[in-house]
Amino acid sequence: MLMAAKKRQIRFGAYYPAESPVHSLDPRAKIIAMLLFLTGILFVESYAWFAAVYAFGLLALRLARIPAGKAFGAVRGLVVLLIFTALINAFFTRGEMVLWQYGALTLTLEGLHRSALMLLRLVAMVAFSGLLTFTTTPIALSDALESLGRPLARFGFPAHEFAMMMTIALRFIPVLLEEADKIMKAQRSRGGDWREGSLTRRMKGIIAVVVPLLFNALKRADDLAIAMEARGYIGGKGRISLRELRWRPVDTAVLLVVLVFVALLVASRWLPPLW
Amino acid sequence: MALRMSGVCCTYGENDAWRAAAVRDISLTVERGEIVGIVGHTGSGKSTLAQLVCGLLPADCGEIWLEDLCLTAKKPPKASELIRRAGMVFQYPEHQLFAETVAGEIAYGPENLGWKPDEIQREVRRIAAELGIAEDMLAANPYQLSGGEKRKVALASVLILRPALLVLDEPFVGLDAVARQEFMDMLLKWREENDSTILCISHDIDQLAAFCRRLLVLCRGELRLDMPVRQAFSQVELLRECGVELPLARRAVLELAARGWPVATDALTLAEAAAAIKAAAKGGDADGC
Amino acid sequence: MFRLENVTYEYQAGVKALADVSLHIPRGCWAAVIGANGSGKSTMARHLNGLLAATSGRVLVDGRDVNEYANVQQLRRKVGIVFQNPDNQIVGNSVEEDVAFGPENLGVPRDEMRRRITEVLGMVGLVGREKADPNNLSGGQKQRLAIAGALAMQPEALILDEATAMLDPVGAAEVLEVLRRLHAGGMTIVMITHSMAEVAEAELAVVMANGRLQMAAPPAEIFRREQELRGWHIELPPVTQLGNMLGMKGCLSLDELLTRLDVGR
Repeated sequence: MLMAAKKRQIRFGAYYPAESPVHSLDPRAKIIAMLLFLTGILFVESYAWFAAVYAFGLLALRLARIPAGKAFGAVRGLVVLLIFTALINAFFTRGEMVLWQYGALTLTLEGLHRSALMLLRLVAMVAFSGLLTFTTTPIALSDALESLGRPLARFGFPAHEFAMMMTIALRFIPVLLEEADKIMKAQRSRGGDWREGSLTRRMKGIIAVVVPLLFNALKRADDLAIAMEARGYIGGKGRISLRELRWRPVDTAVLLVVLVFVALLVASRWLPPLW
Repeated sequence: MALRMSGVCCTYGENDAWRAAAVRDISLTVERGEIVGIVGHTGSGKSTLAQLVCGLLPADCGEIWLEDLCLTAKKPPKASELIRRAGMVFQYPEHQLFAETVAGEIAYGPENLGWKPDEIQREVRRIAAELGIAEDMLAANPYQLSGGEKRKVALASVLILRPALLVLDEPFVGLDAVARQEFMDMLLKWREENDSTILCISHDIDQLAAFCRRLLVLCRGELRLDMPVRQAFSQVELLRECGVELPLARRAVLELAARGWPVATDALTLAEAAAAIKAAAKGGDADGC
Repeated sequence: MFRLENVTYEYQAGVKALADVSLHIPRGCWAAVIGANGSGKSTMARHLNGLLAATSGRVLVDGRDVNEYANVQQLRRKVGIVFQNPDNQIVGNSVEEDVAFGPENLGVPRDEMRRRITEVLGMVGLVGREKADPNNLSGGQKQRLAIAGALAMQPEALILDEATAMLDPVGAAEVLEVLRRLHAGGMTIVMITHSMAEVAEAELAVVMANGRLQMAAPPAEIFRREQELRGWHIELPPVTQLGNMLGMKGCLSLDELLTRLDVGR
């Protein structure tokens, strides 16, 4: 009831649970598509093509049943970076059409143009990465990376180990957070608080939380290793995962569409400008 | 008056990522020197209540007073003021031990309060003597102690601050019978000498029955029962509804009474139950004659 | 099912955690191992599925020396183990994924995995929670999940290393209920415990002290020897204590005590 509703779910990454055709795509297809998009976006140099990119992106968001506000909300965290980049581009691009000048600072039309393109590019990149992380659980992402990395395993790339680490980290982060809360409270009931007092006291306050936390985490790691061994874990060899990645025809189709679109984006550089 | 709560609620805040059960409309008064047990199912709000009392969680409504200090005032009380009045010993000593030596661990609280070094040294020795922590153990690494010893060090590190109200979270878990008895005697003696008050959360109903004078029963965040412990265990229906078991001693005499024995049904400890049953057996014989 | 012959284990040269332990636990038996901290009870349990190897002596599982098993996985499959801290043994991010962890390691085909998940979740009463996040389970549910994870490897015996020590009474009761069902189904159970009330449920009580096996007999018999137990820092279950006060030794449950009182009246 009320209590259950209040239970805040700790979520990692930005996964946005929904039933949608994008959610159900093979995560490998989504990773490859995103990488393709990011590459393609680098080549776009005109507003018309950016309009196409954004139209494609909005369509994908709609298919994924993700509110556009949420996807572009991720940009909010980058506002400072974006403004900074835009200003640098605006003021440090040389050009002939000087619009405004103050000492060494000159604002040119070319500068504005460049900075607008740069903003469009960055926002598009963030949005497309978001499209991947919003529609794919961290576990599915790590499975996909394991699968994509498997061909590299023979060169010593620890694909399985990375995936297992990811699984364990996801499982234990909430446990450790809860433990950290308990430790902080235990120390606070002895007056230990790193938010007040002299620098040495603050330092000691931090140590008093970090030491038990680390010590307990090591104990957990030790216990977990024994428990995994007891359940027959001997590494990735001969292991069959319950979670299965299934590459369906739709994944191929989606990837083909993306490939064609991205090819156009790349080619756009050499095509006559549309606008 | 050691503690007064009126209309306190806490539905833990949005920013709290961890689960803490909510409590609603808690009102109670605890007098200085009382030993109060708190029971309830997991998630009933026991530990939320304990943390509210110690100022470790902010209340959403109502008032909490520790003696003359208001925890729910606009301006939160200073740590030094708070700690003198209430100290909490958590269930797992592993959640607090961090210093290189036992002495350093026990000295952490006083250091935070800015006591003078020679005063700290004196007080560390004093509390160690009171709790039976041997001189040579003070130099030991807390992580290398046994479970019972760790528990004692954690307790000492809070008791050294002489809090007027001591809150204990599951103090008996993992201790054997001898250690448990020792622990209880030690706490009782300390309370006597320091004129302090004890709140004790535990699932170990047999121990609570022997240790506490008054019992609070929490159920889904509400205070359902607040009575002297002997009467509290007569509220059989309510306790069952709240998922709280009766102490074995009480169960034994109640069941015998149900089987028609003329037995007194107010036993709290095994010794009391045994005495009552023996008396009833004798009385029964007398009837027979 | 298990036979220990003069097993000694030294965790460092000259320091014996187990000294000359000989013990037989028959198939289908429910054994409880008791003893104070450091008595060697957990060390002994870890010999039963090859997590520790004896320094000297022999450990036989199902009639075969543990060293004769072709690989350790075979042994682990035969003997499942559940540990004390439920949080430190759950690997999966959902109930079903955790149950699948063992079978995954053994390379069991996926449809068989699915079948086993349904089966063992039924045995521990967690049907319908397949997709739940283990972090949102209660202590008792987590420990039942850990049991399910062990059962999914289809073991012939289950070891519980203080599996109820961190649970509240409700959680402990849930776990015990599962054990009763498993025992009724013929599972061999070796339960290391501090709770004497749990020992009363077992058929065989094994008393360890100072790395040595002191007694192995039915609980009622063990609990008659109060003096010796006290010497090893082992207390009697409360109900047995009450019985002793009333001159009725070896009572294992309140019902038994009350009935004996009624008869005596």
